[in-house]
Amino acid sequence: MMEGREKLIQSFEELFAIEKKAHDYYEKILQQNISDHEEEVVLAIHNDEERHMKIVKEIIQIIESES
Amino acid sequence: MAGGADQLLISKKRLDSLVVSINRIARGNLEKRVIQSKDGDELSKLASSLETLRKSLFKKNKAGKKEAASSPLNEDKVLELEKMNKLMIGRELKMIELKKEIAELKHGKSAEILIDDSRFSDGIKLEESVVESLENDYEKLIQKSDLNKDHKELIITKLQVLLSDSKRHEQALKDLS
Repeated sequence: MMEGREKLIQSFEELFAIEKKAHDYYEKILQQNISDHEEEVVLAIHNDEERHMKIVKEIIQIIESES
Repeated sequence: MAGGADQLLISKKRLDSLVVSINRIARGNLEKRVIQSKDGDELSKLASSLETLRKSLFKKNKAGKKEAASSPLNEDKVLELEKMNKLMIGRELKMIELKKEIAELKHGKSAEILIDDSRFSDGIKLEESVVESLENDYEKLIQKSDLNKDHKELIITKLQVLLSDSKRHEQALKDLS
């Protein structure tokens, strides 16, 4: 059972890494010379990615609470 | 006296032999063993130390050759990589030129803008892969797990937020391109 949980946690840690990669990608885009509209869209996505990282951490905590 | 003279001659020969060995080692020829004697005198101690040094250098030399052969950054490989790199960059530049030409033929003056908009393509790919793994892997993973029902539902709700956001991101980036 413990092994299953560990694998589950590992999978969500991988998801966290993907969300972090996306967050960093949008941060780079924001540093580039983009239009106001593009900045507005990308900034919203960037903020969402930050929220996604928190959500994935919460999911990991839920799984850990049962371990 | 004669015995003393003989002894001196023998010592001279042994010393000459040691000098030959030292010179050979200095030239990097490490294959041949240093001739040892069982006399236990200073010359035999020197010959023994020299043999230890030869063995050590021989081992290091051999290990160094092996490492150089297996190293991904030996000189030949570096040259080969540089050559490949130039070739790839050349090809990439040619592709950009071709894309520009095609876009110009299709869209006239707006070609430059179309090429520039490809900067969001990495983001679109990233969002696509997130959507795919959320839909195909993560929800199933939770469903199959032995977590309690409430936790399963809570996690799936959270995953659905991620999924709907990622789909929205993908579309927003496509609209920008």
